[in-house]
Amino acid sequence: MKRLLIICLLVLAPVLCLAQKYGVRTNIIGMATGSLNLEASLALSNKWTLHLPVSYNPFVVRDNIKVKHLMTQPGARWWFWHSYAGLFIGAQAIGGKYNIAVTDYRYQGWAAGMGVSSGYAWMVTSKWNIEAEVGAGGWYSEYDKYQRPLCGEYEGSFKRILYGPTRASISLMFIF
Amino acid sequence: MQKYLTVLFLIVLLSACNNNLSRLSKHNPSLGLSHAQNTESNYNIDLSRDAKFTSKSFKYTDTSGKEKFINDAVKDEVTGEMVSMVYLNEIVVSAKSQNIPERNGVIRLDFIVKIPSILQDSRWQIDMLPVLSRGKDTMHFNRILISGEEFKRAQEKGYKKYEKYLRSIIPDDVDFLEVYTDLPNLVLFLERNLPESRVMAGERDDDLITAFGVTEKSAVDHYVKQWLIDRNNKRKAEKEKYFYKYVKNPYLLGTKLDSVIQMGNGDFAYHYSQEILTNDKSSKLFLNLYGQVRDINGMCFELNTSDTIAYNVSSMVGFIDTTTRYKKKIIERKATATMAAFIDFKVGKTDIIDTLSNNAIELEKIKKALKDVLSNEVFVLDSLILTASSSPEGAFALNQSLSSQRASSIQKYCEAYIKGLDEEIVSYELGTKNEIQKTSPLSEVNSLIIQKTIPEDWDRLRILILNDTTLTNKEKLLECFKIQDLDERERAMSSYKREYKYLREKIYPQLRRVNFTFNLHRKGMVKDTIHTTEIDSLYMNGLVLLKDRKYEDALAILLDYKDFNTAIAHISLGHDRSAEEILLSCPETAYKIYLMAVLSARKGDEEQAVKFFLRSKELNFSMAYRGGLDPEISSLIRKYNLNKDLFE
Repeated sequence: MKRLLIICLLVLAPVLCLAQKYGVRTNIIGMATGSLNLEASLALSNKWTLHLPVSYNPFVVRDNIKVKHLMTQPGARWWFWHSYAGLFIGAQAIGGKYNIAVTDYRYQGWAAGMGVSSGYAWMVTSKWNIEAEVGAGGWYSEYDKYQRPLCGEYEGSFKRILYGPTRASISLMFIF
Repeated sequence: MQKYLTVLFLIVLLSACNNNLSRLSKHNPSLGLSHAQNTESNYNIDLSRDAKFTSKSFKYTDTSGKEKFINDAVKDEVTGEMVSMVYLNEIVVSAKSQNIPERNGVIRLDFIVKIPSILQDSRWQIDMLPVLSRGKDTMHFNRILISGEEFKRAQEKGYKKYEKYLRSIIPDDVDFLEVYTDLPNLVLFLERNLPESRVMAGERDDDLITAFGVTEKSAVDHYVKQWLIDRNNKRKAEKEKYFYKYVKNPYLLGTKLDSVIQMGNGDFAYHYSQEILTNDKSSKLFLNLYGQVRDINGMCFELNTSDTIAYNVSSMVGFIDTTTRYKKKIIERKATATMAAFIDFKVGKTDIIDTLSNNAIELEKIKKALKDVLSNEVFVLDSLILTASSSPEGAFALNQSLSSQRASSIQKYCEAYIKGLDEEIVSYELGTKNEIQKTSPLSEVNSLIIQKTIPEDWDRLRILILNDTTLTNKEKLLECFKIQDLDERERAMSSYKREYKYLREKIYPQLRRVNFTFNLHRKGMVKDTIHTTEIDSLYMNGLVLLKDRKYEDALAILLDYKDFNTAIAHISLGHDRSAEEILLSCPETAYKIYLMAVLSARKGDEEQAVKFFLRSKELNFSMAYRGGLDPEISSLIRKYNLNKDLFE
């Protein structure tokens, strides 16, 4: 609850915040697989940071193979030593819509859920970090299943709770 | 089944390989210790304890009471008769002790150490320690170390391992931040979060705090590799433990011999020579050898102590002449004491004024001297001679009368003082009569005072002029002394204005004096001299030191006496020439001639030495045996067979 409040404050008045640290980062693996992503983060104290990543993938590979999605995973991290340095654990809320066709089927729908993650941040220079993170979680999803080819057959609608990995990233972060 | 067999076989195999120290305990070896050859040995007759043959003989008393002896019997080959035979025990002769001389306060011990081949192994080190006992003291000599090649190599390897360990310890003078912190990350962290920090430059500011409340100290502490600090400290603390772990056989210092030999080439022998200083317990010395064998792994096997060998030390101390010495003291009956007092008088006056110049002090001096003499317990006053003299100024006739009057006034002064000593104990004797009369001392003592005057003390003036160091023109002044008329003389001298001024100021006052001569004699003594004897304790102390073989100290005392015992001290220290000088003037005794023989032998004059030795034997036959103890004489005895009459 408190955190929600802080998010609101953050959105409303960045001027209120004094010597805070901000960071933006991008997931290189994601970029390599065509998911444009950007994450903004904010350090609240020496132990807590808030994050708001957004990931958008509009690309179609070929033969209608795609991992289109628009997703956000707002969350917070707790750092063992200090914000933006060292080991951390985080928790996120997941939300977004997707249109994925990798196997013989295409799934299109939306998902919302939660995940936990953990990772490590290496300080490269005073302004740049390289981070690695993995996470898993669960989400509720409503989706339609089609045959993969374009305008493929409709297979059905589903409403499920799914579990799986939610994050696997190696990212480059800029802190200012 | 097969598994057990292989295990058993391995055990047997391992135990068979007893190339280790434990095999020594089976054989019980010991080191060999013997006297060095080429030196005189004393042979001791030693009866062997277990006889090979036991002689059976027993008594039988028959019914009539006669005793019969039953023995072993053999047939005599020549006569064919049965002859009784008794087996004697074996007699073993061994060299047990050795006679060595002591020269110049030093004894030289020689012995041979032998390491049997059973103790030798390339992986072992043999450590031998000779121990000398004399009286109750023991003295450890420097040890001998004999190592095998493998042992030495293993020893060195151990040290190298330890050195490597030492090198792994981070020294104290390194830059703390560089070595003990995760420096790159610390730098980045501080740049990012605490840019004002000057830690890199060496300044710590504990008040600095990041925006999020992280102090500089906690930031630095986070990046400090505490585990490394702890590990380093642990290594530093455990240095000694690791030393003993790696270096199982440390290098031993203070060795006489420390060498690596090729093991297994038979017995190893080493001639050990050591000089020790003599002390009063040096007549019999015993030497033992203790040994240990160490192997590569640091195991140690203690060897049996070797046989003891003995040394008999002969010295010149046996010749000391121990008769008591007395000092002669001559006590005279008569004694004389003199004293001079400088009393100043006013010009032309004869009365004593105690406030004038130094008079007070001088009068006190006189009074004290009188009191001391008159109250003395040992001496008695015979007479007191007062001699008053004046300086030459003025006419002789005037000086004469003035001097005698002044002398009288001084005498009166003394008489008055002596009167005042009435209450005190005054002892005196009248004349030289045998009876001691103790009467009132007043007038009698005053009658002992004799008065003399020297009106113008020219003689003393002459001496003072001669001895004076600052006076110039002495010859001219002394020339004036040729003038017979004293007043003329004075006029002549006064013509030398400057010198005369000096004379009047500095020298003339010394001529105005009163001389007191006390003639005394010892109370109760009638004879003129008495001779007494008392024990010369200094000399006797010197003899005690000599007997204790403290030659230097003894010589310091005995040096001036220059008698036979001094000669002994000189000989023991090697001062042959001084000894000879003294001995030549000593009376002819067997000892003296024997010592002359020793000195001649030392000089190299063999003929003289032999002659002296034979003559000393004539005077005292036991000198023949003494000759065997001193190497100078014993070599002559052997060479010329001088002691053949011992065996006749």
